[in-house]
Amino acid sequence: MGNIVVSPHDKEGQHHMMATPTSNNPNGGSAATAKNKSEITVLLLGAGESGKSTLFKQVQFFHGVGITHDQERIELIEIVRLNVLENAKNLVAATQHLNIPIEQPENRETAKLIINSLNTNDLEDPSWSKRLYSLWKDAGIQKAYENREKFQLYDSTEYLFENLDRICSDKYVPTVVDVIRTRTKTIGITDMKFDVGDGKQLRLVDVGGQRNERRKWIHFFNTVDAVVFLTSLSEFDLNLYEDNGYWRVKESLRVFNEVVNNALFYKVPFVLLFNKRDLFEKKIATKSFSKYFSGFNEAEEKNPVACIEYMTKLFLNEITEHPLDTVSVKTLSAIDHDNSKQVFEEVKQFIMTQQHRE
Amino acid sequence: MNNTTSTSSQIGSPSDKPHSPITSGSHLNLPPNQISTQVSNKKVVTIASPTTTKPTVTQSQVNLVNPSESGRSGSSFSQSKITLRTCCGVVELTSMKLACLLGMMVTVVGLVVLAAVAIAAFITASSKSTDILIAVGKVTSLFESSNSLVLKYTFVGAAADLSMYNSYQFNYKNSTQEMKTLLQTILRNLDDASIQKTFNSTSIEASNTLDSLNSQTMIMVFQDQKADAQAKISSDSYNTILKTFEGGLDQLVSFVQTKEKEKDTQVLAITLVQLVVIVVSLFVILPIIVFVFTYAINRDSLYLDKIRRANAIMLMDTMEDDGLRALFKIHCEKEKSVENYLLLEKIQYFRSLCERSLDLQMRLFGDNNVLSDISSDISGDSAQSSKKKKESPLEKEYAEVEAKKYEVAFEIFTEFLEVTGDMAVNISHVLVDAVKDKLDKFNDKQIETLPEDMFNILEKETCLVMMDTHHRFKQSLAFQREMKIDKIKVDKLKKKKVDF
Repeated sequence: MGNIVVSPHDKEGQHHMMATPTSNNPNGGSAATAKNKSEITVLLLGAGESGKSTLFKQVQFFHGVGITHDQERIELIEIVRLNVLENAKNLVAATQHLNIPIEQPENRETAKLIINSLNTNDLEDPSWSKRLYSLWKDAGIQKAYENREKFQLYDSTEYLFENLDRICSDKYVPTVVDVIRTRTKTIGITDMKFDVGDGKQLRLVDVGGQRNERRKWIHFFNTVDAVVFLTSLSEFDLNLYEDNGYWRVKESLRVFNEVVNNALFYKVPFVLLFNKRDLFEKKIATKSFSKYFSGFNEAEEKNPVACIEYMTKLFLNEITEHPLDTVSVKTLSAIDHDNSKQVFEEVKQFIMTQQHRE
Repeated sequence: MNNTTSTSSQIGSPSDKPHSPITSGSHLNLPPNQISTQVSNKKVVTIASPTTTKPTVTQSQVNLVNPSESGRSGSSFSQSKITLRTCCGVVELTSMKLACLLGMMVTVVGLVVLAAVAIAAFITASSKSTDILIAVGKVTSLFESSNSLVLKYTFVGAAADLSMYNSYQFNYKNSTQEMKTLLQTILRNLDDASIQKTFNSTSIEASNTLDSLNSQTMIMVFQDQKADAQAKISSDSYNTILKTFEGGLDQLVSFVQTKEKEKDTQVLAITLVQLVVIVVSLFVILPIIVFVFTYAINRDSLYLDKIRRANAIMLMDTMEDDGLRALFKIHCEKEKSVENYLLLEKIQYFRSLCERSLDLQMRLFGDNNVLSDISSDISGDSAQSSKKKKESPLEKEYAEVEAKKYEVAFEIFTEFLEVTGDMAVNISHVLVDAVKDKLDKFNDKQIETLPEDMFNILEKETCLVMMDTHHRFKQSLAFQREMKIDKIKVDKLKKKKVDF
């Protein structure tokens, strides 16, 4: 493998996370020579909030590790409650920003407390369950929620507010679903290993997706045997967490382009997972898809299959170097346990088949 | 996939549209200290500012997870103790333990009683009444059949017909022999001496006598003395013997029936005793089980609460302990997230500078007062020059500390917060903007000093983001070894560090 140069920025000031081989080797090194290896390293890549860690947690759960144990989940109580507070605060802030009044006087009082003094410890008091739920059901908050593409809000907002009676209790222990649906920013690189038969182990590597985290991806590029790239279908109307003025789809396409066309991955099986299909289907029922994609037929914008096909073409058009016969595209709802299990099994089979083909 | 057609990517960003996403607190223009209130107070203390809130809350939280307490009962109920001096030493029994002991004793006593009752039931059930009755039935049948053979032969048998005689004799002997065997079996199975004696003197004696008479009768028929034979079997003595035999059997049946009635009574008593034992046991044990179960649930909740609190302080504990902190740093390096750790360290350094700055301010303020008192009787010029001489080292140090504070704050901003920084951390741009705003204000002389809490939210956010990392650290071998072995050589571990 040739020397690797990491370029932190391109001309537009955007981050590059890619390693660029400086040698003239068109295959870009030895990344994909894993046929006889006893360990298959699979990288979960994708922009922030694409669902990499959610899938990772689901895979952990399939294999009876991590969040399967109560002890593990207890440590996440604070995170779940913080998610509730963040969501509540963002919604209240949105009502002010969008100039939507909170209708009920008692809910306005609750909103003030949320902004000024409410902390996660307070949520041990069950009375907050009613207050927060009442706020959630307030017409003003609901109207802001309908316009959630205009501000940052976690996907799990509705779920968390509907489960406040459990969360706001001093005896609360998060369920597996709670943990799966809780948003936590991933930092660094974590991995897990499990047997896949034939004396082989699959090493699944989860990484952070935000721009500053992408520079760390390089640590695995020369040993990777397969890449699973996740992108969120439901982000078509959203901007980045780390850069409010930047469209998430554009970021995903750019990251995908850089990953899939990286010379180190020429011979590596590549899976493109369109995640959050469940949210996407709900979203296009009320939001215009064609508004964001001028090349898309407006008449088809309520048809999820047509929308996904269009997104697929959009992403596949980014592939200029990678052989298309080693690319697989699938849709996923990572919060759905059964769907995740099924899709991940298919992904695993695809990777194993590609390994054998080599 | 290979046949994918090209699609024109005329896509428009939401930023091109009237679309301006907002993030928490951004449009409320809340100062950082206000924004921070959304995060748990406990969390603020535990994972953030060690200089401001560390001592009191940390202490209380450490107490909550004190291992020595974890083994104790969590309620007043379980803490009331009864002390027993035994040969093996002093035993302290809490009410909970006493309840459990009582429950166990009742269970054991109940089981012993049930075992005794079961043995009695077994003995009762092992009597052979049914076998005897069945045997009596068979005996009656065989008796009737052998008698009918004799009767038939006596009235229809031909004299000197040897084959006929042999046939009847053979059948008769078979039936009689089988009957006698059964009678002996019945006699053996009888566990009562009186009925045994009665049965022996009636049925068994009669069967032997009858066998003899019947044999004689059959020989008489064969020898052509049919009339005598018929007279013999119609005689009173013959009928008396028959009745004696049947009477013996009837007595036996009556005896068995009486015994069965007694057995029924015993079974009823046994069942009653069993029911009583079960009811008493349930009455005593069930409340104890419910109580213990409820207590266990509450206890579980207490442990969960303790675990929850323990988890909340763990990261700070790690950061405060030199050995653990070094190991945690290694772990962060392994997971490629060391920039978050370094950021926390840098913020701690900034805070220590703030403390120094505050200390200097206090000293300057105090010295001013002292100086003005001392110099009150000296002329104005000399006083001024004296003041300058005495104040200048402190002021100089204060200025240096403030400059250092700015330098460190600026480093934090450029290295960790700016997206282009070498060690940029994964945080919201709102927090970055808040820090930048403070730095700008200090540069523009709008504020005299950088506030101590300017990185508080950032620190909390970083700690929260690091919870996952810290959790995995706690599961790591290095951490577990450190917790078990006090003297672990961090340097050795560093050397042994395997690249991720």
